[in-house]
Amino acid sequence: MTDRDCGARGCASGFKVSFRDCGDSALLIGFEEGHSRELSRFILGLSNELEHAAMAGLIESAPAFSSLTVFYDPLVLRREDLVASIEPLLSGDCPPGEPSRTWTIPVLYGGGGESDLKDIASATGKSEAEVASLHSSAEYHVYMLGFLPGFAYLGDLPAALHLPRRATPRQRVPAGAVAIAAGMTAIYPLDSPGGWHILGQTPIPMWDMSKMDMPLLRPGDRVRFKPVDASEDAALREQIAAGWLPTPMDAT
Amino acid sequence: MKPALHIKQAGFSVTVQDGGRFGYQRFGVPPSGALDDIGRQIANILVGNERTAGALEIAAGGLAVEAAADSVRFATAGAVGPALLKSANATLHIPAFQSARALRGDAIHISAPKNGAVAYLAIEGGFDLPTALTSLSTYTRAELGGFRGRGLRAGDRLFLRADRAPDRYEVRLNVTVAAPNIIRLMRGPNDSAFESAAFEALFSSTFTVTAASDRMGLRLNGPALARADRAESEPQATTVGALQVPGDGQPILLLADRQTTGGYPRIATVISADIPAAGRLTVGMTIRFQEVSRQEALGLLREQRLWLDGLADRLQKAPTNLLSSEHLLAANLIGGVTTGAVKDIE
Repeated sequence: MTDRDCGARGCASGFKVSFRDCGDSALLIGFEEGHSRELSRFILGLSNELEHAAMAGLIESAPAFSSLTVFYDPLVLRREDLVASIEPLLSGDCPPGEPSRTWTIPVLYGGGGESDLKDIASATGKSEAEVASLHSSAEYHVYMLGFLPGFAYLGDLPAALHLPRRATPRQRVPAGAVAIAAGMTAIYPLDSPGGWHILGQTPIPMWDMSKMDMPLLRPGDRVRFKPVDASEDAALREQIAAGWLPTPMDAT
Repeated sequence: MKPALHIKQAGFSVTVQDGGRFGYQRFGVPPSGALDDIGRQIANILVGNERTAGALEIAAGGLAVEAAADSVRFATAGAVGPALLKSANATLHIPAFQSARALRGDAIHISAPKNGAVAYLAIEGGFDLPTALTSLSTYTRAELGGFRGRGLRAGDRLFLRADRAPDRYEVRLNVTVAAPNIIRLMRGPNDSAFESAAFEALFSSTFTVTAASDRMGLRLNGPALARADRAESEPQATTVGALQVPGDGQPILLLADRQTTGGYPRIATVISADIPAAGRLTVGMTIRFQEVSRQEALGLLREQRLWLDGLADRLQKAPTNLLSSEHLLAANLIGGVTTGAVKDIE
């Protein structure tokens, strides 16, 4: 099954949607199903289609787990016309998404100074090695970005690793921290306060804004994590300091 | 030497802002931009810039700069007293909403905004800064845009595009921008997450802006807005002006630097026409909320755009006999007059 294989996904048969106004200049397209990769691909395809429609007055759209928010100038684009242009996309052929890309992100599990690996292991009844192995065995889907520039919500975490957020958030989670909470995993792109449990550290920058006009991970991408040891981590940091960045494998 | 403003003193938050950074919310980057975008546009109109140009947003603490260019035309807009233009032999008082020209070595002092959160300083020709993701706006949390991604500090040199302000008469606008005491809202998008009592409380009570407010949002204090359901839902994209209600029921009015996504339900959203006014609110101010229909909201937005479009045609020639405090002092000495106070020039 490919991303554009609409028939197999049954997009055309339709997700249940509702349109809700966020004031006079944004429209929330809400999908009633809970989040799934299938719904996510549909939302990303819809977002993509709207961005490419080059509709006057359409500013941008922001995908989330089970919604798409469309920002528009209501004095240029009437709400009725916006809805009328979205509706056929919901019931007709599945809008194609960007082709997805697959990334392999190296992780020094338990590394980086701040780590909850021991606590995660005891809370889940696993060994630290099992936690790392479980986390790096799954292929994740980038559902959305939010919270911070370049902060990608990656799902879905193996059920054995599901934990609620920490009772007390940290004042500072370091950039590069690989963390889990609420059925998701993520990499902190910047030093920031944060309430997720830290598994380890990656040397890969999520978004060097001085060099890249887009973050490394984008909605619809697939991500795998690969355990590395301290010497591999150090070697990668040297390469990155010299300008190296990973490239994605195209999805098959 | 490149033309510049030398920053002599800068308060807690003086940032470069333009109309905002759009197209990156999907990547977690908020639009940022001026909190009071009307103030920013007016300051630019006064110095003959495009309305999309950047300006310095001055929050608490004021700003003092020295002109390091042959001449620099500037104007301020917002709830702020007259700027002091100090040269070697005179100090002129330049009211807000009026342009003036500083010469090399002159100092411009702008006091902290009064009765409002922000004031804007625009410079003819604008700042010589690179755009970051298409915008000059500063988003300090990610050290993005503006001057090195941060607020200005004493010692900074802010480069300018123009070394000389062309000779022409100075202009003024007979306008005021005031902090509001009523903010208009449309319900939603998550109105179903609230009990009807929450709407009664929202539309009949007074809310106070608390000290925990910043460019991300205004934290308000008032009656708790009761949620029908305490659960935090999956994150959705946020919008500027959304009234987000966390578990304690105290709403947060989201502003320019808001997080792009959030899981707290949004009971209502400030209409676009009132977003600049909301940006003028500061700690201790009180507001009430009024519900309007979508049609009313659009009517108000249209009216506001027409008003802004017409401002350039309403520029008046500013008085040329600007009083200086030295002149007044001299007059006092000579004439023995006891009123030493310098007033706004009208």
